[in-house]
Amino acid sequence: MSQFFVGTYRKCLSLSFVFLALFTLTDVTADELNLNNSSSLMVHGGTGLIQTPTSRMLADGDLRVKYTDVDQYRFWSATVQLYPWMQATVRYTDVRTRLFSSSPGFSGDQTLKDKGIDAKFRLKKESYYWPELSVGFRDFGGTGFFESEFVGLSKKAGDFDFHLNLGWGYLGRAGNVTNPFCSVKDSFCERPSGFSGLGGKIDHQRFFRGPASLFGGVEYHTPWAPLSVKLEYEGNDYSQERAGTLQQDSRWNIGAVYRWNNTRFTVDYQRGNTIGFGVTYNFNLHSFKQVKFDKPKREVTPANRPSSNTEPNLYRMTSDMLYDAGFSTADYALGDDTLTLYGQQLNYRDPNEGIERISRIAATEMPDSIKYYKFVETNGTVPMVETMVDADVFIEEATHQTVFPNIERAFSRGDISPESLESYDPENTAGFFTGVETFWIQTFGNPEAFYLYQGGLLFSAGYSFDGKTSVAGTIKTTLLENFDKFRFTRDAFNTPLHRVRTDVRSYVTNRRTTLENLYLHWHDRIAPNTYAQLYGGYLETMYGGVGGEILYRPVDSNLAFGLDVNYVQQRSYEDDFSFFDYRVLTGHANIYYKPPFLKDTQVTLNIGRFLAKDKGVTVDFAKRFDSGIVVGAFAAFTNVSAEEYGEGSFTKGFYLSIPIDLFLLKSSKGRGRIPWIPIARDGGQPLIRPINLYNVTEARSPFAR
Amino acid sequence: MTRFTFITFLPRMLGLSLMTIGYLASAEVVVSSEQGTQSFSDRVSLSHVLSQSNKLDKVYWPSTGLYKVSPELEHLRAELLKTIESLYQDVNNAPLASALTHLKKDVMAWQLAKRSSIVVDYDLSRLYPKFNPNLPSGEYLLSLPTRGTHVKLFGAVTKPALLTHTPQASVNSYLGKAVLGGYGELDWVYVNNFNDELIKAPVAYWNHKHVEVMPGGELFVPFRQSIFDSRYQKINELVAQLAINKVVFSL
Repeated sequence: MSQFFVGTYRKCLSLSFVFLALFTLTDVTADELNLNNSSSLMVHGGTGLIQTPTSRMLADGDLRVKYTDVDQYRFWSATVQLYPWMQATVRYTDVRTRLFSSSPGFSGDQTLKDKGIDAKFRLKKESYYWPELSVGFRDFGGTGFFESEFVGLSKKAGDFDFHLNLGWGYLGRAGNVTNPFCSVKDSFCERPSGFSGLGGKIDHQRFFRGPASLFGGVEYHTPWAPLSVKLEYEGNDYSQERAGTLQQDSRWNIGAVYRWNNTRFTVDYQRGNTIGFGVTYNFNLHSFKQVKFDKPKREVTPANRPSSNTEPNLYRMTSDMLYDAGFSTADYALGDDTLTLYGQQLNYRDPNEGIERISRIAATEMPDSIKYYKFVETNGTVPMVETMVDADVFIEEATHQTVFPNIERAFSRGDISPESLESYDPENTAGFFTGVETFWIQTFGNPEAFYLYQGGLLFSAGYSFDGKTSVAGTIKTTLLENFDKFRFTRDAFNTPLHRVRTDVRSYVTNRRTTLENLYLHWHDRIAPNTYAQLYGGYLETMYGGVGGEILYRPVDSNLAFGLDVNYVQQRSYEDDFSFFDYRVLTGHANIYYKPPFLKDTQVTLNIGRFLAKDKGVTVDFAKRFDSGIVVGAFAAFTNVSAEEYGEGSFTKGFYLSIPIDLFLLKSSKGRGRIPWIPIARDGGQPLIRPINLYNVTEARSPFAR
Repeated sequence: MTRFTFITFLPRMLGLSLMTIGYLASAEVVVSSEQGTQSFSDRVSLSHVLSQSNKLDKVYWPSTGLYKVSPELEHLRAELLKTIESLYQDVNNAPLASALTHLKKDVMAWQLAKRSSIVVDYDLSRLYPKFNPNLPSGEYLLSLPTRGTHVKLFGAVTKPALLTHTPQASVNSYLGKAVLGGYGELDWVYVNNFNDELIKAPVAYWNHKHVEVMPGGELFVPFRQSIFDSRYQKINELVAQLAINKVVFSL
């Protein structure tokens, strides 16, 4: 069973515009990126034949969502090729022949659902004499219906792709060969039953143990390009299915795949008695993109360059920078040979594109005597990063005075220089601000219904005293939901931990309009490369209090680290302003690292004390694709035992962070985050701080750009 | 002021360098092509340089290129020749030794200059500024070849060959049995169409895809990589690096 999780998908522009733009999305298919890749998915998701996986991978960055229907089972899966050598699949299984629970009061007549996670790693690429070699782990979350491991070989010859695998667990249940590890060590002869903790843990003590089977098959790409056919021999005997024992008249299965653009339709005949079908949609996270109708970059030509004695028109320049290049200027300084502009880039998530666009405007306004353009990106009025543009080099590039074009060689990024800080004196920094965002909360696999949702608007407003200190608040209004299906707001588990999160249902159901947050906030750059913030008030839906954070983040460094400390009290769900008695001192040492050996990857460690007073670490692993989409996973390991924690054994989850820019016809900054947290209970739960310094200082060493 | 000087083209790098240094003393931009050398006392646009040619109607535009003379490439060439020589000393396989000898001769004969990524096209240069750079001072080589009729096969092959180009033919059809047994890469070859892009074409029974080579292009069969000897891989990488910067005036 899945517990409640909250995921918001926020954006800043109107819904209608976004959905209109969705229809113009373009993407390049995986096979166009990688000519060698034409593998299709198996029934459960993940590259494979019909019921059996293969060692094949998809093209780097492929994301395939699939629905399959096979009599007793229905599967929804998403498979992503995170790296060329690693594939991951998440899946929900619906067992039609079983009820969700034996208690109609709990889950009505809903059928049994289960989630699963698979991972596959390529150990060796295919070559002339060697097959591709991979090892895979299926449904390894502890209570998995299909838990198994396999080692696979794949070899292509012309239009035939042959596969041979050795599997354990579900895939090897028929035991058609002797487990080779059994002859080495007796403990490998039996596969332990059950699962450790309360499920949700990786039960490595069962890996490669018990009966094993050889299985495999062939996929043939027919001369009619869209069609391929499959034949496989299974290693499972269907004797211990979650759906009950299933009759297997044959271990041979056949199937066909028809490809239509990015969609694949499959039909198959399994076990000698069952017909299955499915549909898969593929898009590539690297090449996913959107057509843009931005204003063209300003051409710099000798004709539109000012003469040396022309007085620069700064008003016209900053106005053009705002409307043509998305740069909002807050302050400027014009020296003998340097123009310094302070402000925020509002539109372009690629820092170099933003700098190029404003430099082009500066080049058409500033005389030759100005040799450097300095752009200081700010957040509020807090300076973040300084980009120095060598004007002569830039103009040489912009006017095509080179045969090796590389406009970025004119840019150099760094921390804020003392001169820039000295001349920084922004005006008109006080004022009101408002905003409207949408939110969407969703949860899968609940006892009441498989999909529960709540959507609405978040109205935010505040007053900034000087660009560093502000008071801000958000009101949440629900417009659309089916949370009225909840049959309980608190589960029956007798947890020794304080219910720091598992009462969340009470917070999101009792009123349509609630005060999401209301707090006083200050942040500033307190030393070179160092930022700090303090905040106090109603910080999030469930907690209020005071806190502070400090972060050291050098420009374009692989490493950043900091510390946050908070003293908070649990808010009441009965009204917007009162509190429950529970108080906690919580905080973490935070380390952010982008390992150079893993392309576009960030690992985050939050080490400290969580809301339930448990101590431990949250590990977050995020991979960014070329489109800007980030796929991430996290897990919290604390001193709460699996038994104390409850179902799932520990907090873990996945998320997809998507640039809003991908859905708009004009360039835009901002992101939407879609989390998937299979089970979230009270251990390993952090405070959701209203502002995170790492996000605020993103411009200093962009990861999620 | 612009000054034109047409002299006889010397295909060898050494001769060309000596020839153009003399002009640099009095001119900022020197552009050599198959038709000779032009000197300009000031920056000059690519479209202007192209307009001076009297054979634009015969140019095979997919394989044109603009190159700047660069001494860095000579260092790479020296490194490649040294690696080939070192490997040659250690091998006792006659066909491999022969392939290395041929490759060495080939590499020594190459005219090398740093290739610009800007597409050389007379129409584009007159339409869009980014295809019409103003050439800063320096020595340039401008390749405006006519359409070729052959495909060159070299590298880890039994014998380098000049094969007749066949329209729509796959790269595989040029390989035949030329790949050097035991030492030639069987899975893929490099295709150089002299257009700033080296294609790694899959050619084996398991990964074959239809990839064509353009008329006048080259196929480099790499040496099979060895876990015991990194020199094979180094040769492949250096050849690939230099092949992009190889200047050809006629295909």
